[in-house]
Amino acid sequence: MIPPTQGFGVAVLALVAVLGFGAFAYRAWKLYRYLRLGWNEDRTQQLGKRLKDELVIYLLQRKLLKRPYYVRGLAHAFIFWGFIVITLGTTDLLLSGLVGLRMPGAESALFVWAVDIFAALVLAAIILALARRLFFKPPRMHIALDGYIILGLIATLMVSLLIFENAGLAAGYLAIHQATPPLAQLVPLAWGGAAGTVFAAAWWVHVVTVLGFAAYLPQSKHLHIVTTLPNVFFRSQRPRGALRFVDKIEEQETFGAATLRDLSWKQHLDGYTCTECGRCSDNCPALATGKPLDPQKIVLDLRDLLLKEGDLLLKDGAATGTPPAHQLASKPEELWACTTCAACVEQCPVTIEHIDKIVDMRRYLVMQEAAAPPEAQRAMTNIERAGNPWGEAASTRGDWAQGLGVPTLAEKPDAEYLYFVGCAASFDRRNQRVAQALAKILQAAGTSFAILATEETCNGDPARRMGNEYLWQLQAQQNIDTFGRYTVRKIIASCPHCFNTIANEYPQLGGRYEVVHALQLVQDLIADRRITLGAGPVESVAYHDPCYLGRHNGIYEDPRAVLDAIDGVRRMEIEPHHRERGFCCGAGGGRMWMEEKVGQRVNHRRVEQILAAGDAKGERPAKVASGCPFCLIMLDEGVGAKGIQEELKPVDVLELVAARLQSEGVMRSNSSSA
Amino acid sequence: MKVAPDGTSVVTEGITWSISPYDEYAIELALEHKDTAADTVVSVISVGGPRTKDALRQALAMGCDDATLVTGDGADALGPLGIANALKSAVDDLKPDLVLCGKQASDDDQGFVGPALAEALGWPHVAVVTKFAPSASGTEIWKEVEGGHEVWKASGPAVLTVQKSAKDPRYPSLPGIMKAKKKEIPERPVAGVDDPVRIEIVKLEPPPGRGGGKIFKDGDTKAHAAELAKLLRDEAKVL
Amino acid sequence: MKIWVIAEKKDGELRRVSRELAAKAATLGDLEILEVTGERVSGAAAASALAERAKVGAPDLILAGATPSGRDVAARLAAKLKRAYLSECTDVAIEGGNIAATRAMYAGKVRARVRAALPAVASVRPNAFPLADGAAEPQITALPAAQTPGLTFVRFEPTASGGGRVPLSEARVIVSGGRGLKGPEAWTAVEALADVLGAALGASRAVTDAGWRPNEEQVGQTGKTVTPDLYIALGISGAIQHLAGMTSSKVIVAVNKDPDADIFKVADYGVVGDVFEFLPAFTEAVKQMKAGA
Repeated sequence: MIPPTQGFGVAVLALVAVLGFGAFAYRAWKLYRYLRLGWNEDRTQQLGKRLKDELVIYLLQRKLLKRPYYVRGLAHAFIFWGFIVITLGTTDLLLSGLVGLRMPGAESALFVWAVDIFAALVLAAIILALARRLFFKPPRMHIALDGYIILGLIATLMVSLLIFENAGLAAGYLAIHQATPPLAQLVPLAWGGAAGTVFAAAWWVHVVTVLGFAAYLPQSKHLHIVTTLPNVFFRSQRPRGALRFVDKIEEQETFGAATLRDLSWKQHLDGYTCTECGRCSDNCPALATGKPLDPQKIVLDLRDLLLKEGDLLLKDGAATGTPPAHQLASKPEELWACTTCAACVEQCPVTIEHIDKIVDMRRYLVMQEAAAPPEAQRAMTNIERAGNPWGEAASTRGDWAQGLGVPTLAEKPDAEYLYFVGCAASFDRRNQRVAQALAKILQAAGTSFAILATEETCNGDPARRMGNEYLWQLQAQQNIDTFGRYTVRKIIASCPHCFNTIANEYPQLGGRYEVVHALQLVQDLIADRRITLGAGPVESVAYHDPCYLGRHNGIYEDPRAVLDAIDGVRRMEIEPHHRERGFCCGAGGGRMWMEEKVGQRVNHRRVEQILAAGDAKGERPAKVASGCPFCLIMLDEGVGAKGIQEELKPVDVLELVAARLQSEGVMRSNSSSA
Repeated sequence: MKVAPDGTSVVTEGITWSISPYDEYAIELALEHKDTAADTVVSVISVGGPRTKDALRQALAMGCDDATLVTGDGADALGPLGIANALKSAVDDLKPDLVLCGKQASDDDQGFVGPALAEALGWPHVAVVTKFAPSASGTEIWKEVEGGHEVWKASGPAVLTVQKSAKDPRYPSLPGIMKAKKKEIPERPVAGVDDPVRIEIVKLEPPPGRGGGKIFKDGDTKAHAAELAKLLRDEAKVL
Repeated sequence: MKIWVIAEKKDGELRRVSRELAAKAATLGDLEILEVTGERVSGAAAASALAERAKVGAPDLILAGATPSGRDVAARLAAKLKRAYLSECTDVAIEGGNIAATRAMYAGKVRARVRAALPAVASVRPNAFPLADGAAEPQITALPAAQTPGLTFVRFEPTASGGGRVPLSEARVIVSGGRGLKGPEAWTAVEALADVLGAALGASRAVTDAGWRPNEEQVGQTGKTVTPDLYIALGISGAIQHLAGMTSSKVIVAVNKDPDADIFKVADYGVVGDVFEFLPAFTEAVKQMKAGA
């Protein structure tokens, strides 16, 4: 192909290139400097895993291809892959235009065909996208002029490409190489003698548009095509349920995030990378029930503030004070509404970390300002003084096990497993029955286990989620010290919050144990035939995925397998809000201890979803089973409030198992009513 | 709360010591005033052994300006008038305009020390206070009574025993806690303090356990209702 | 033994607790009932007047009702006399030269028997002692009090909500309703019972959340903690958050159709049955008793 850059053409092209790339570089450099205002978080661990994530998430677009966005995700994937190919083509155009060189492989049939086909595919996808925004606007989509500009530019690029290929063919400018673009020649347009001019015109339109695009890129959210590359690479490799550790907390001068400088460079990069797709908001249980929290807004508010105040902060380099302009904009009521359910994080195609930002801002409110909602502070004070958020007498912690023959670690220090009961099952009457059920199951299986009773104290999870990192560290250290005294190695937890923090967060303080959730263990016991379950009545049981078991820790199958092993239980899925799309019960993020005054109660919405899922199948479930004490409390309140406690009974899967145990073991006294 | 084997004390192992709730309200009430009048100095004082320092640090972390501990051998075993006299010695040094304390302690639940301190100082006292407002002519003090509040005015210094503050006692911020850890808490000797009254604990018992009550199950509810009314009058003596 | 009872009047009548103390004191020794007179007398002023009199009268034991003002005066009086003060006793006896009393300690979690040398001062809880049967109006000595130097009464500010029922936190009897009452209409019957008993109204969280009753009536961990002599729980299941607010009640009565309801684990008396059958029958029974008594 002979580029139409004879004579002055090269100079003009060079100038336009300099302008285009220059504008890009200038703005990109500025954005980079703004980013560096954030503190220096180390994100270089696990390089191998990072490369793998890059391949799967970035290149293979894995996180985009999730239901219910599958088709739209596929469209985007094609635009993305198309873009890669076309960028190579553009490089070739510029090279040939500026210095008369071709890119290696640019003349091959493979390359030419690829460019051509992808151009057509991309154009088709763009037309679909435009049509969707113009005629079938989705409610959650944050559509701005920016979006139309981008779509318009890309459309222009594709059309001009196809035209100059078509005209170029007609004019004979493409005869220079063997491969001819297949699609471009599908439409035999009658350019006649004007073919050469049309070719040149379309070529220039294409190249200038590309360079204009380059200049525009860092001004728009479309920058994500560049920033997603590092954003995925530098994503958090902590387990999803683990929050960031604050080392040497007693020596810190300030706590939490109140200003732009209190966020890390990676958190600022998240802001640049947000594509404003709204999938996070679409799946947020708080937003769905009318709370002021919108995860997308949290991310964009931080980005917008950085862009607005970046210059000021760069000039004011030495200032350590916080003029109001640099104060983060998210309001407390937005932050407190979050249940840390991770639906946002699960859905985000570009791996933005919403929860970390919210918790960082909570940390400021709680630790620096002591400004948490009063009920939340009471819960924290209770954890400090009584070792549980309810403020129940610590001396009664082991009372649930009275008469069950469950040894304490003090009585049986060589027990294989420590059953870490947690505050809910220790003190909440409803959940005491679940602990009793598990004890019964473990005894029937002959598992060697013991509890800590009054030596156990709150694992600290609610404090940490609420932003009280300090209290969490105090609590965790207490438990770790106790575990150390008994050289505990294996831990069973019936509560996903206990499970999550002990398994994923205690290692931050040096506490490393083999932790299993009770349902994982029970599934093994069933599979190994260490317990046998007897026959029972047929009943339809819906399974509710607890967020800290499912989304946070990927445990979806074991609880289901356990349910399936119970004779007569017909497991029902709460479609479409199940598994990774499960809807939170509303208690996470410390919200169990906060008042819910705005909108609909999250747990009430969940009960409605369960009923609707049943109706869709023509049969409402008789029970809803989960594997979390807080889900149980919230579902209990929900069915009670709706007056349907006789029709839909919330239970824990363990209770269903315990009721069917066939064993020679002595029947202990417990009032399980599953 | 568990009674110790000797029957005259409670088991203190595993208990976290903290400021008694009414004292917390008193501190909060003082700090609420300090929030509006920045030149207010809030000093916190207490009498007791080394463990009492933890409580004082908590008060400092909440925002009190300084703390003093009256301590020494026997500080934890002082009777109520001894405590009042010990506190008087610290108050004499500090010369405050007002002394606030909780309306009663949460160990002995007595409510004696406040009025006793006022007596030792020769100051008037107002009990069950929920609000106060200093002015040029004196301090207006709100005392909670049945159906409302009585407003009293103290022309000079007074002791207020506090029932409640406007807001819940503030949770100390982490910087506050850290600063309080490093603060110096001067001590005054408790020796030689007049301690004329002794109240001896003869026996402690946990309150009678709940449950195991008379529950009417089968039969005519209306008949049960009538019978219950009689029991409440004759047996439980609450009607 | 010389026993003084510091009497309080309400609406011109001797308060019930003062009469209870008078009856008890009469069994312990020679009784004298004193009433500090004057408009708006502060605790310190009353204590001064009493202390002056005590110099002459030399009582061995001074009793006051454990009302807010009774406790206020008694504490200051004891400090003035440099004698022991025992507050909120539920039983009082004289053993040798000592007073022996029963009272709660550790925020009500422990029951204590305590002893102090006479002469001593004690405040006593209402309902601790029975009234003397057919007792004649006792003789009361009036004691005028001078105002406290440095403290003057300014004004009375009534609470906005006005009159009607006793405030929950002070109430001696509470009738409380939960979700088992099915709807706000049921409260006509609940109020009827409360009227007969002179009780305050309480409610469970579920009921206030549903908007059937105002938030101020909520008893529980996030509502009010109450310490009445009698707590009647109607249609309340007994979730731990509710129990946290009322387990310090002296007597708990529970009515619920679910025999497994947790409330029965803490109730002193209970009826498993239909609340709507219970209410009118119980109200009627109480009405008749009060009329007859």
